[in-house]
Amino acid sequence: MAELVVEGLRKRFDGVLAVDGVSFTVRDGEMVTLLGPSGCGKSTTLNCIAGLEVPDEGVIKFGDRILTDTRRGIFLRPEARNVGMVFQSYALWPHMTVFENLAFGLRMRRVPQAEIRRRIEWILSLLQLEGFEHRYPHQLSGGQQQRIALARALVYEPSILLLDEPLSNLDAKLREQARFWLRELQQRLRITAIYVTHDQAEALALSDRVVVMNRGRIMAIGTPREIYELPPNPFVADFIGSCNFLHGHIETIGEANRITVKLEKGIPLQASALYRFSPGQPVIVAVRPQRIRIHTDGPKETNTLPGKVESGLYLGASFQYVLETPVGTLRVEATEPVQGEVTLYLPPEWCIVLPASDSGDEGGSPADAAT
Amino acid sequence: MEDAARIAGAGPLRTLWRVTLPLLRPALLYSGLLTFIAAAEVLSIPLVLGTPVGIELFSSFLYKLGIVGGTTEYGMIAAASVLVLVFLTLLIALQERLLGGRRRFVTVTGRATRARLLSLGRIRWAAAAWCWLYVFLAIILPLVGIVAQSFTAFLSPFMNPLEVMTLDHYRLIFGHSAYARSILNSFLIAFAGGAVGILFMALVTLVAFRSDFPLRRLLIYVALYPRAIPGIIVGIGFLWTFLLLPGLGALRNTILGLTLAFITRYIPYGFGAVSPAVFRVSEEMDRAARVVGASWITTIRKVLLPLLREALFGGYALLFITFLKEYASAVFLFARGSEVMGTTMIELWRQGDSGPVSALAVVQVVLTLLWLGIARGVLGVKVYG
Repeated sequence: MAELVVEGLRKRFDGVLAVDGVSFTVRDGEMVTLLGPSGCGKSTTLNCIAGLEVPDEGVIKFGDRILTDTRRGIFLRPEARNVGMVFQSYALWPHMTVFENLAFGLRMRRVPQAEIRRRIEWILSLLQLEGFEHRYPHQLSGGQQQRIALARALVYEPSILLLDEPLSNLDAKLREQARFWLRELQQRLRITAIYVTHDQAEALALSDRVVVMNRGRIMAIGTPREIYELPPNPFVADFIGSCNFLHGHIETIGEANRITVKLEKGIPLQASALYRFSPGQPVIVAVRPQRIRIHTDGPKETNTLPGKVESGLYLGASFQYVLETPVGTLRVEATEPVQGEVTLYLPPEWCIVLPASDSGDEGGSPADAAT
Repeated sequence: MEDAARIAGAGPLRTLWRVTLPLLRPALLYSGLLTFIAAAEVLSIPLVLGTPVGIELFSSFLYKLGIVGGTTEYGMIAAASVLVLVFLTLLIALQERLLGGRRRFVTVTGRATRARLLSLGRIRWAAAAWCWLYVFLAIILPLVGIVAQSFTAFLSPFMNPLEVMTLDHYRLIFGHSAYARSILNSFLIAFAGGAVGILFMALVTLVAFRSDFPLRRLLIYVALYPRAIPGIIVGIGFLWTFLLLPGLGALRNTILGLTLAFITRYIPYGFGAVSPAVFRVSEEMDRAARVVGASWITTIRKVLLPLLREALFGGYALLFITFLKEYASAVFLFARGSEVMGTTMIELWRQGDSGPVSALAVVQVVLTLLWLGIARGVLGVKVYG
């Protein structure tokens, strides 16, 4: 096995750049998620890797095998790439039984009949679907169809597994279960996998690393924790989980990436930086609603703001409040119900300073300042 | 959509006029064009009804030039054909313009809704009577006439038809080798040619919509273009092709040549029968097969064609019936040995034998009905129209 490298991928549809210079690497046995809103280019990227879409520019390599290289005019047809793919609609062929669906890829590879039987038995037992060989797809439940689609993609032992929103047609409960066993299966088989989704919870739960995309560009690459806790730009912070944004200017730069930001109305806030900043630079401070603490009568520390509860939502496990503060409206999640006037504490380590440009691809690189 | 109009305050008539009819615009324009072409190309009616009283139409004019006259005026026929083609191309372009932005007319979104009946109130009896009058005048009356004529020596309002009952016409058409052969030829062309034709048309449709062939968009137009060409001109075109292209001369005057002309002429029918079914099959079906390791042609063979089976059988049934009736494109292409029912009918009519013509027509109707029965029963095809 080897690693998959995507370099400078570009794809235009009717003059619109769907994928605009995407590069990333998937290591051997790693599960990487392409995450982004619809139309961000994640599915197009996946289709380019599968060979179902011909990119306008770019190189796709798997180990020393070149799948696509537009400069040299190399393009391997999808059937020659030995990839497995699970589609959003499952795309099980309705005129074939489960056995025939699974055998199709093996027959294309001229696997002998006895070996076909053995492999299908193996994959069905792995997915706990023994005894379903002779059913037709329409005789299966949604969850079973989803697993058969996965079995069909895995049964011929492809070198890479591509998943295009495979769980989006399952209901909420089933989807959560499927996340677990999909992750477990991928780790057991140690297969290199790329997973496309717009569901951030799925991306965080399933992947070794996440590639966040927007408008055809990569906004961030990192482990789920890095992406969630240290988002490199406002888009990522807002898209993954929810986030409060406070506008201000750099006042002083202290030790260990600790920065003091002067917010509107001159209110100072201690915050942490990923990038190198200079005093006076306009910035955005990102704070997640879950990280803000509510004190009803607590001592007046640094990094506190007075707030007034405007409205609240009961979410079951927590309460979500909208509060009016001197620096604007903040969303806060709390475990206990509150009302009226409160004091909000914003822990400096969870206040992330980001450059105040919207696209996020200006300013320093995360590597400069983060340790 | 009609419901939305009703809720917005439009009465039933207004809804029909402002919503339903505009939505049907593509269908209305398309069938209008087809009817126009059909009217321009129809040969039998002007020949049978017009010529005797001196009404000359374009197709009967062409027919006379080519077949009846002592010398065949091929040059003049070709010139006349080109004129018609130019005119029809203009009509198609006009139609494309009127329909610009086809997506406006997408009404099937995959969600099923029940059709609602429009209550007509008191005028419903009148409406029903009108419909039945049409059916009676256009279908039942001629059919009865044909059947009656085929079984009588002489059909006249002044004679009791039962007194002149005879099977002579049937004896003639089944007994005379050339007439019997034309029935067999027609059947062969319909049966085998229809099967080959629908497969070819399915392939054209799939290349047009499910391949990365660079000229696939153009192919859609090419495939639809024959709808603009009157059958008689298709026949002339094939005649010239067979004459001019070396190696194809052998096809002239054979039923293979006729079959080729028929298939070409009815590509739009096959295209129309198959393409809606192709649109219903998700593209992920073929993508899945490609990724799993199947080439394009294997994907077509193992996945798409089986999924399109119903539409293919439906298209086959349609082509069978159409090929059985087809004569316009055969007029310039047949010779002794490759007669088809339509050409035999015209020949017989020219000799003034209306009895055998009716008998042949009855055979044709019976074959069509039998075929529809088989198609419905054995192939499970739903045949409309």
